[in-house]
Amino acid sequence: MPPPVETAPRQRFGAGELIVRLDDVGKMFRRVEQKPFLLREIVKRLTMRTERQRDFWPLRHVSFDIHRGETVGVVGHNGSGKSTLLRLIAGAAYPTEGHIAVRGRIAPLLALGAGFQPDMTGRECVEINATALGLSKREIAERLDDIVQFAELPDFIDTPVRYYSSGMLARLGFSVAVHTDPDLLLVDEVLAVGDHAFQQKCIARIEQLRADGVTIFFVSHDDTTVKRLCDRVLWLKDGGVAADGAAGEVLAAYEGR
Amino acid sequence: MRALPDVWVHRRPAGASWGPLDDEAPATNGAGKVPAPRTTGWHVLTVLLRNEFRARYRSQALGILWSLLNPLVQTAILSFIFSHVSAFKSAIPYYAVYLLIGVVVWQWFATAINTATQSFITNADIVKRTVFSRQIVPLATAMSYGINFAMEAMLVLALVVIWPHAFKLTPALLLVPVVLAILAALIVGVVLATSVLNVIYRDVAFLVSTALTLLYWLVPIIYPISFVDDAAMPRLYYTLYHLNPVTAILVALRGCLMDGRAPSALTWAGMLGPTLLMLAIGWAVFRHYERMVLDYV
Repeated sequence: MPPPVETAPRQRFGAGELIVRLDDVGKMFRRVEQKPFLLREIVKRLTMRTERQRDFWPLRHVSFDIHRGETVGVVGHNGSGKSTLLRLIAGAAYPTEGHIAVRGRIAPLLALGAGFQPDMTGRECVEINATALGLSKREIAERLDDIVQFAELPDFIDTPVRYYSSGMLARLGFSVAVHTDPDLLLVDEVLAVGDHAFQQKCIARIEQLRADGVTIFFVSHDDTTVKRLCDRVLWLKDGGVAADGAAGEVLAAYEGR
Repeated sequence: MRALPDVWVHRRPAGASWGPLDDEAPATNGAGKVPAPRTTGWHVLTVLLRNEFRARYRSQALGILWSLLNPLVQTAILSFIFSHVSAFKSAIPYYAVYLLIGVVVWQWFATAINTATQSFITNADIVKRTVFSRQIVPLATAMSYGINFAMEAMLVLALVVIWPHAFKLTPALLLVPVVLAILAALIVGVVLATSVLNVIYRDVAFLVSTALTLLYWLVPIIYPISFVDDAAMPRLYYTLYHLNPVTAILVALRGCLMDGRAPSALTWAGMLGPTLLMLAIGWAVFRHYERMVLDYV
């Protein structure tokens, strides 16, 4: 299947166009006490024994819009639903209620290096990771050199990744993700890896994408980075949006609690 | 999954769809039609498949040769043992060939189903963190064993040199690819269901592997099919035995290769009926649990 010609991301949408809409979105998980087994389930059904359902909602009644070119930071305590929100927007999970609408190419940086296997070489990892992130074969071939250069790994790209350090792995993973030419970049605390110099390089790269008009949805515990990168901040608390507005105001409220 | 520029992808509890926003005029591509979102499914499938296959033999010096050794040794031992059973000898003139066909087919069927059932768990990382059509995961695993099968099928062909008279060069040979396609479809149907079920109920993999052990003796791999056909039993049992799709596939394959005989109506029914049923069930189960997989894996 030859990939259709695509325009550069900055021409795909006009400035300020709506690209993500969440309308009263909720996600429910079942708290699992025992590992579910088919045999037990069948016995339970047969004996009509009903178990107390323990539902919990990491997110509920969440509504907001994101427009093109916005850089939205998400802050909140552990378990406030940040990662769930990202996975829902990425399409790696489905809402239990409500409606999510997205358009354009999404690069979900939910974790660096999805699909890396120890026996594969760096080159093969790039290929499978980039494929999973939505690049076509030709796009991967075109960008491989850039990806390797950015990751600073030209000498090791044909080495199996089992011999890579964790820093090298993270660099390769990040490099693939920022070279996918996205309309919407979802970043989930992945900047916490790598040394200081590489972190700065990543942040610089994100700033450049931002200048290019890429919309960025950024989850982080690090208030300084959020303040530096984001113009709008969402504060998640107990599965709902506690505040949504200009970065300075929301962060001040969040830090003051 | 990537969408074309102007298409909204909607995710609701009922599943994904695409089209305009509720308060928006429908987007068109000029021809008056909403352009469909483009997916990279096939590309992901080929990369996963190649990867799976390479990873399996990467750390082994002899690589793929190991996968040939197993059916060879199995066939050698079994044919050595059972060539001393006179009943086997008189029932089938070329028992080693008969046996190898059975062993090679079974090898694909059993390993593909066993491994693909676990495939969502093995690939949990990529399933959870990236977005593409999920049926690709079990399909890639099952089909990567198809490559092994192709190699092992060469072994069967090599036997032509040793026992040229075991094979019949007739038009029936043209049906062999058809039968193999049915076998592939059967495997796909089974793993579509078992792979998603195994994510939610982790004991499914054990049930599947136990069922396969039972099935091994329910189909004519080691013993001559004439043992069953000649046994005095009710017509119903006989029909049921032949409606087992694995039995039907083995009967058809050996018939085409060794006897130059096209499959009978009962064999066709046994191959196609259960396979189509299994595909339908597999697809329905897969669709039902597909989105739960993302939460449970």
